Amino acid sequence: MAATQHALETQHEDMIHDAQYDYYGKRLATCSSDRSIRIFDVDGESHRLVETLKGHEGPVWQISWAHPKFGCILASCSYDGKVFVWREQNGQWSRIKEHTSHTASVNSVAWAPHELGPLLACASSDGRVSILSFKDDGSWDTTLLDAHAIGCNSVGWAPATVPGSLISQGPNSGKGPITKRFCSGGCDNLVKIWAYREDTKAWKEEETLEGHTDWVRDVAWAPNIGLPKNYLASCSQDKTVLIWTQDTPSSPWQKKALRDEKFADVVWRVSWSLSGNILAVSCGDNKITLWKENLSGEWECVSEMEEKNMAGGN
Amino acid sequence: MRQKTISRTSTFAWSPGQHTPLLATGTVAGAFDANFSNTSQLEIFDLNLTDKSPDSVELNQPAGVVSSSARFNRLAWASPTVDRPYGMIAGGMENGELNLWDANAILSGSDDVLFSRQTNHSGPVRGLHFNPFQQNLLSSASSNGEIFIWDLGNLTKPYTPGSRSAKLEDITCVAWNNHVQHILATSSTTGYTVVWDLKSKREVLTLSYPGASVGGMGSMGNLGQMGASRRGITAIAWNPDVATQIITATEDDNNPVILVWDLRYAHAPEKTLSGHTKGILSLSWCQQDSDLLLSAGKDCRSLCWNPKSGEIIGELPQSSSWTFDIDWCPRNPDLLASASFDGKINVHSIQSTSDNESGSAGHAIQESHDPFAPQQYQSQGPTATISLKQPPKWLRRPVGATFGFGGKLAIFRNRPAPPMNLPPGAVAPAGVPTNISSVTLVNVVTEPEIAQRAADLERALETKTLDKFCEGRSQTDQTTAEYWTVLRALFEANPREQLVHHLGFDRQEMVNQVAALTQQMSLNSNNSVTSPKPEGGLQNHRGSTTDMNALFSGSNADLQGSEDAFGNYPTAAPTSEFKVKPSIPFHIYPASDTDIDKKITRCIVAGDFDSAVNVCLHDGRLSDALVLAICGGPELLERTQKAYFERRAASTPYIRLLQSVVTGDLEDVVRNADLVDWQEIVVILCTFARPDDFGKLCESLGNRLEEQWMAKAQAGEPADEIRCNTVLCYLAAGNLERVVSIWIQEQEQELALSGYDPSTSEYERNARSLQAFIEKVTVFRKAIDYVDVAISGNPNEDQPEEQQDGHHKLAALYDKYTEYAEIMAAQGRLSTAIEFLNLTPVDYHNKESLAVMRDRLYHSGVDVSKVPAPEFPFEPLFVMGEGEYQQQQQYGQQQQHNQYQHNQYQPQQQQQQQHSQYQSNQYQNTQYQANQYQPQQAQQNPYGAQNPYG
Repeated sequence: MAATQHALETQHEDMIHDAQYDYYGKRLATCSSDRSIRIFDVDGESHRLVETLKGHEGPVWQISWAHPKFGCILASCSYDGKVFVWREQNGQWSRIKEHTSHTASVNSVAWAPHELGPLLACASSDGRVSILSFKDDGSWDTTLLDAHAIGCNSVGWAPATVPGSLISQGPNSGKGPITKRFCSGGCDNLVKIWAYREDTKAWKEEETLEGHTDWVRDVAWAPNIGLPKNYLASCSQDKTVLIWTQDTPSSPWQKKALRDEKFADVVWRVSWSLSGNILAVSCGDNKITLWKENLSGEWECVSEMEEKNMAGGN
Repeated sequence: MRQKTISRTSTFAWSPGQHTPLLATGTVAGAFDANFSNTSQLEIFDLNLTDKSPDSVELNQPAGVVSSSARFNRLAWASPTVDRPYGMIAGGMENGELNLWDANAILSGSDDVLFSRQTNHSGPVRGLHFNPFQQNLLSSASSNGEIFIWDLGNLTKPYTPGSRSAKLEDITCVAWNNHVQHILATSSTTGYTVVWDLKSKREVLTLSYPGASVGGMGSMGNLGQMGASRRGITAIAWNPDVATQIITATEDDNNPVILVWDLRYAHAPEKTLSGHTKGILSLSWCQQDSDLLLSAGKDCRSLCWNPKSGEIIGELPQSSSWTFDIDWCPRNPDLLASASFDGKINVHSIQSTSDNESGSAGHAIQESHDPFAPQQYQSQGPTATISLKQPPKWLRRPVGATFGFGGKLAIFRNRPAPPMNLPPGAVAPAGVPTNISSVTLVNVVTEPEIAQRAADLERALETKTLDKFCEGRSQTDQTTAEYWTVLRALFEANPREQLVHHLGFDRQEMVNQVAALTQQMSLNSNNSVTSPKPEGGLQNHRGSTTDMNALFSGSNADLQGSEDAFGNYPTAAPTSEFKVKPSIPFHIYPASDTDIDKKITRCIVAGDFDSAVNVCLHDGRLSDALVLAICGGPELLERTQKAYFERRAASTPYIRLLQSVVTGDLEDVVRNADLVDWQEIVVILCTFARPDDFGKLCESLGNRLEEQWMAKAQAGEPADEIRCNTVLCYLAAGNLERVVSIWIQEQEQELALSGYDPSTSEYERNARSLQAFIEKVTVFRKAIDYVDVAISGNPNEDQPEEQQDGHHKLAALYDKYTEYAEIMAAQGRLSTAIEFLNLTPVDYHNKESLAVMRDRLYHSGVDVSKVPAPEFPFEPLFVMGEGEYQQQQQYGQQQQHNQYQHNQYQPQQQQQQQHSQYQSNQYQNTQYQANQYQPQQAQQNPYGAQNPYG
């Protein structure tokens, strides 16, 4: 495992809580307890601050880039209980949506796979997940789901089974089975799987996965790798990472600890590489480890990235 | 925000387990309800937190209830064990009893709920705490300075932490240290706080509240009897993070302060937190965030402090009577509960974005939208909420890494700033960051071996050292060494020669062998005179020993190796090149002559070689015929040769071979020679085929081998070797399509094999196999300078079927290129990825991932100066703002989409120079849509005529 790295100076005035590349890997958005979001153009090792987005009245926890077919769109969520949708147009950023249905901190936002249309999931400390569905006429529908009684920390979408959507395949073309599922992780130590039922036109709690012994901090559904097997990773306050697998869409979920011993600290984030073969695990001791599954089904740590000297950073 | 209310005048305890939080309540000592009822109950409430309707705020029905013999001073709840899934609840009773209940039994309505009743204490039990490390250890404390440590596994005899302290009378609170499990603190009405070390069984430290006095206060009955002038310590709390820090609170109405102590400097408090206006009755320090401390007291206020800065950071709505108990929910500190003598236990969330305390007050709602406004937390009105200036620690994600396209990983980290050297009690100046944050962008190469190989290939292409590359591969890659050797040969000046060599035909060696053989023959033979030169077998008249071409070099071949030619007629060598033996006399018409002999002789004498040859042929004297034909000129020789071949080829294979060679009819060899000798056939082709025919002939041979391979493979016989041979032929033929098709099968077969190294990953295995494939194909393409007409050719000249998806000859290869580009992109080799995608025709859409990759790579920031801009492979569906739709109504539904985009992107054209590529990408999206997706609207589009995009 080899890696080259460089630092990006964000100028945030407080803790940074998220950093996300856009679809093309050309832009980076960061958000912070200083209530701002910053957008950078990244080109090799050079970066340029493009914009600072302000408007949240609390720390901004997470950001999510929409697929470019929806425009240049970024969603953000904050401790102020709000979700904003921002758009760049003519080089100008503006806030085009405000979602204020939650009664407590919104901890996670995630755009659905583009095949499902402009669909945004938000997870809140009020225990609910909201699904925003944006419509052609500029309006949107909100669905609120009681997800995790004492708070919801994370949402992650399942890949739409039909990969890619070309000209002939609109979201309504009915071509192939498109799955509309997401997972959520909460303070009740549970991972839940939600599926949209076309017959009832409603979201349904499809599965409750028990395994963690403390808050679930993050959940991540692995990208489709052309296999019927589903992979889901969850990480927790209990200092563990669990890998959940489902061999076929109808078989039961199986859990497996990423490793036998606990991590040194709370595990805050799990992220799959785009090809679904590598899992990045972010631990509270500031170590990032990369994992892959070998052919005998064991997970191996293939890289460990320690924090470099951050002198002068802020 | 208040979430739930329980109408009880009770002390309470949160359930500690991992299930949804429950609240245990016990009728508090020293208070009476309106009925002066003296019953006492222990109840457990399910908070039903998911139900957020206004009707559900009030909780009336407990999930379990049990009556108790006395009232409660304190409740404590121990974590679940295997036997007790909801843990154990301990009650410190007014009458001095210590009672233990099984929570599960209460919840299930069992009769047998009281686990134990202990009566060791001589007075009211007010201190009660389970050890955080060993939940089976319970400390209890009461009046008269009595402290007991109980082991729930064996309750018969409690321990004492040491001999009774003179500084303690009525103990108000006990607290185990959060870091050192044998350290215990006890506070007392005397104003002293004593710290015990259970290992050495003694008191190790005493903290004295200024004005504390031993025995000065008299004994305390219970909370309700506390006077206004008491100076006792009512509550203590250890720092969740720092072992040596403890906080004490006093009930002294004249000086109701919270003191922060550092035990290393225990003579005086480190800090004083002032804010309460009357005595303090309860403290709770948040385990998950040590910046959060709750206090409640006789001033009916419940405050939230940052004990580090000393600031009050929030306040709960004031109660109408003393608030005597307050506690963070251990399961989720977003929740906290407070109990007051106004008969209410309120459960609050520390955060809310909308206020339902007084829904009618519009002003309150407006205010509550800004939970961080400073006036919020100072407000003492009924709508006040805890609104933290800084969100709680458990929500502040400190670290995270997220993958992006192209093997990129964005990492953010935060770590506490190094502590400043401040004097004790000093507050850090504002503006100094408490965290150091960083963002690191990492290019992750998860498959370094593959990436290195890709780089090697690229370098070899650039530096034109593919021959060395092949050589390296032929040595390192056992399974495909064969291919690599042949590929390498293709880069040589004389590739055919190399191929021959590769097939095991070393000409020099052959020459030597034959020489050795003939020499042996001449030694063994007595009539050596028949061979003019011993080594003459190959050393023909051209004098070349190395050029095998000469061996078969046409009509003048030295045929003395043929027995027919010379064996029976050693003397009949009439050409001038042969030495005539002058000393031996002979007859022109000897007596022994047959008629035929005579006829021939006559013809020779007459110089009629034509006839002589005919006679010879007629009589089957083929050698003589040939010799005669030599004398008769080229035309005759050719005819004679033909006749010779016709007669001899069937019975003598090498003659047939020679026939093919001489007549240039190598097809015969390729079509009809047995495939066992395929290598010889290749050598023959290498040796004799005209450059124009070579490829076709090799291909024909390849076809035959392929058929054989298919037949064998279908029959389930091992056929890998034949397949390999097939590839060699196609390689020699320079036939990319065939080679690729077999290599793809080979690669997929390899992947399907079960024999693999279990320590690799599926992805790795696939990538490695694909890399090997790509290397071979790339080198081969380069070797034959392959030109893909589907890409370079004029599309108009292409065959129609070439234009359609799936009909590309190289479709399978394009799919592999797509797959490979994805792997290269994932390894951060975006330029490599785009180069391979450039080897696929733009109209090829068989795999939609190809179009997606093309677009994604193009805009990923790599150098695309040589690459045409790809079409945007998605149907745009722009998310619009709320007001924007209305603005567009005037244009009608039909034009809505185009209009929208026109508006959106028009100005960009003017500013194009300032704009990044990223934005112009968006611009192309528009173009794409206008052109491709809505052709039916093109004519209706009011901008159609002038629209530069349409």
